[in-house]
Amino acid sequence: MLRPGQTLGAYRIETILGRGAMGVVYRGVGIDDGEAVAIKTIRADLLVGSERDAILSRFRQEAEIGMRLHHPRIVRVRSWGEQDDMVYLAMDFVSGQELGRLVEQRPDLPPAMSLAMILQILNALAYIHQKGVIHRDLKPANILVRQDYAIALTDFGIAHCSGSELTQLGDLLGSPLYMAPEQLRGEALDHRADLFAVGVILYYLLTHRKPFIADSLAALMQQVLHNDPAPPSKLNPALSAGFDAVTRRALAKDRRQRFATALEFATALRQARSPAPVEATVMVPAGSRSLPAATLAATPAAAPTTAAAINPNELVGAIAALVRDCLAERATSARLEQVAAGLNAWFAAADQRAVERQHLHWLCAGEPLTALADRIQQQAPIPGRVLLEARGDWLELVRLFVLLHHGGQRLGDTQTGDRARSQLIQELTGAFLDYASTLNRLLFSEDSPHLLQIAADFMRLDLLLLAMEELGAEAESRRVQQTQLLFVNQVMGKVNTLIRQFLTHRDPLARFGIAGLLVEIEELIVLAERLLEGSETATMEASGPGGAVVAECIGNIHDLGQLLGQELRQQAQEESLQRLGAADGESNQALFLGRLRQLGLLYRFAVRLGLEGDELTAPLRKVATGMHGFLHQMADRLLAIIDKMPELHKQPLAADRLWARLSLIAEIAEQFGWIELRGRILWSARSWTAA
Amino acid sequence: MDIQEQRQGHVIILKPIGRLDSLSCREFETRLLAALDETKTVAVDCAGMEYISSAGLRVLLVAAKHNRAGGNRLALAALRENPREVFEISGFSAIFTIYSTVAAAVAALS
Repeated sequence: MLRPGQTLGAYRIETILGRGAMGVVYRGVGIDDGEAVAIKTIRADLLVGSERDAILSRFRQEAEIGMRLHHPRIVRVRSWGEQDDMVYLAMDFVSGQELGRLVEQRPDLPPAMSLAMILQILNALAYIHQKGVIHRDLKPANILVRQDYAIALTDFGIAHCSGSELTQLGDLLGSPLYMAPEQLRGEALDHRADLFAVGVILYYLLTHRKPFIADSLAALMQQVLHNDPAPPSKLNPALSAGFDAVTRRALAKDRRQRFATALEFATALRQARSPAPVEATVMVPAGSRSLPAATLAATPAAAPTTAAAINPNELVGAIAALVRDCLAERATSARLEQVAAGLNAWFAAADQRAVERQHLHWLCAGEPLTALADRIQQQAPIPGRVLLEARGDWLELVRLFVLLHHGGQRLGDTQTGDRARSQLIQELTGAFLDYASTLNRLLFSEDSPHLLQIAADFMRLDLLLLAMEELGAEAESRRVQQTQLLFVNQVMGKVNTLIRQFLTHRDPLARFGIAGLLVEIEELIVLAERLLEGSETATMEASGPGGAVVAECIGNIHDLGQLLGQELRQQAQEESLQRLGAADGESNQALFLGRLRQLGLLYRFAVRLGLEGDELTAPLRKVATGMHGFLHQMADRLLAIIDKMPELHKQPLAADRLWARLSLIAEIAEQFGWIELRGRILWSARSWTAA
Repeated sequence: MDIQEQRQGHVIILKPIGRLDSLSCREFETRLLAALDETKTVAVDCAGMEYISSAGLRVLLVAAKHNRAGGNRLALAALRENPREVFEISGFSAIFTIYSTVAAAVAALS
């Protein structure tokens, strides 16, 4: 994994934007021009055989086509390359969110806004179609929406250029829901396939329902090929009937009946939309940081200045009263702001009387300060401590302490304040050091670890760390983070023990315990990940000394995965077609799908752990190869049943169950970027549906 | 999980409904931080929150850090029994004031 400040090609890494199953997406800046970029990376060394070629050619395709396109509604691809075992693609950084997420978050999105976005999409498509490019994978996840609702089209990974070679697989790499019928039938494509996809998106935006819904790939394909969705106005009465006609034409099964061009589509849409102009709707999108000036003006000033408005000689009395209220009632943000403002005003005043100075000295370096420090110590959420009558202002008390201590320093007295601060920090640091033995007890003393308690304790330690940061205890905070790495090792050690025990003492009944085991492991790994998230240094160090434990864990996951795979194979072998299609076969089917899902989950854990450290490549590669091989075998096996059994068409229940299994394999394959495996399943689903 | 949003004066009230766990916490985090960026005063109405996992608590922790940096204020209201217990064992009752009603939380923020 790359760290902030490291370079990748012509870019400097700033932060991680997200982690995928194959690699990490970073935000970076161009070293030459300082422009923000998003950099997708793929650990090519983790790709297996033919998958490697498939994904690399997809990357190349995306880069080469993307670099040719210059349009305000298309994310510009800047460059791509390889460094060590990593392939990367750098594009302009777009601040916004995927269209799909936006629609989920804003069910109240007005149709006018949806239409404005669709028109922008059509505008971008008109441009690429004119350039001879077909996107072929238009879906909400590939459309980014900026905060001002401007859209940006992205991911040209399977786009097609006129004149280029089209592989059989290439036209089936998109998402079946958005694929035009001719795409599913395997015919040569033209730009009207993209217009069909826009029709699906339009339908979804207008009705919040997908036009085609099914349980498995084969059933979904069947729907796209033969079913006409309900008119949008039936689902959303607010829509005019004009939209029914537009979606019907956009989603026509025969492309000759669709709109001829993106511009024609756009014109029809403009005519259908309600007379209210889009500009009349003013909305602030989720995540927006900009507000209209009028709203800003209506926001009251953040810092009350009542204390500062008082005569300087009465300030100290007012501050003392505020501190008293903070201790007796509650330290609120408003009171702290007034204390801060009052102290600043007093120190800024020209005529400070000696008596006032003495009073302030007593407040900032005398009994009130030590009383405050005592209160903070007593109420610290240290693991194991029962918090009686917690007022919810512990962090505010810490902030008040910092304010007063700083006041004492400005008065030239550091002795009392420094001593109280040191004691506080010592107490907080001590809680971390003490926790290692508690954690061991909670993890190892009984058969099943007290996961809830551990999670709660880690939260408490996080709160203590927050207070240490408030107190400016930087060196101690770093030391404490190192201690947290020990905790990660302890937790991963427990995961290893659990898996080892399970593998060693397995009896016939133990297979029922595997689900419980996986739940526990998942919780433990979430805990470990959380600790690793703590800081950049923590992550780095974890790949060092902690690497052995993590490597062992990846190895254990491999062994457990093998076992789960064996069970799945055994179930598949024992199952006759008749049994598969039996009316009471539902529980067997659920067992199969459940295990397959768990296998996917285990693999994802391993990747997540393995991406942290370069030295983990070998064990991770072993897991990847094993998992990929197993899924391939299982897909082959299921597809062979389908191929060899023409009578399967007469057993719809058995066929549905086989396709549900294959759909899940395709889904897992997609998660890990195994596009070749996924493509094969989609290809077969298409043939099956056509037959 | 569904997240409802409404405004009272310059206070944004977010109401998460359902389970605040590792599946739903990302969306909640985005909405909460966006709301804090927008108004600096946010109340979370917890009446519809059936359960909060450590991933959900973590979102509140991120918001607490965000508060410190931006001078924002966050108040929680109407916590149900189960989340209240989680708050207590995880120490969150020490750093968040929990108001019995949304109106009380809004009044404290106004």
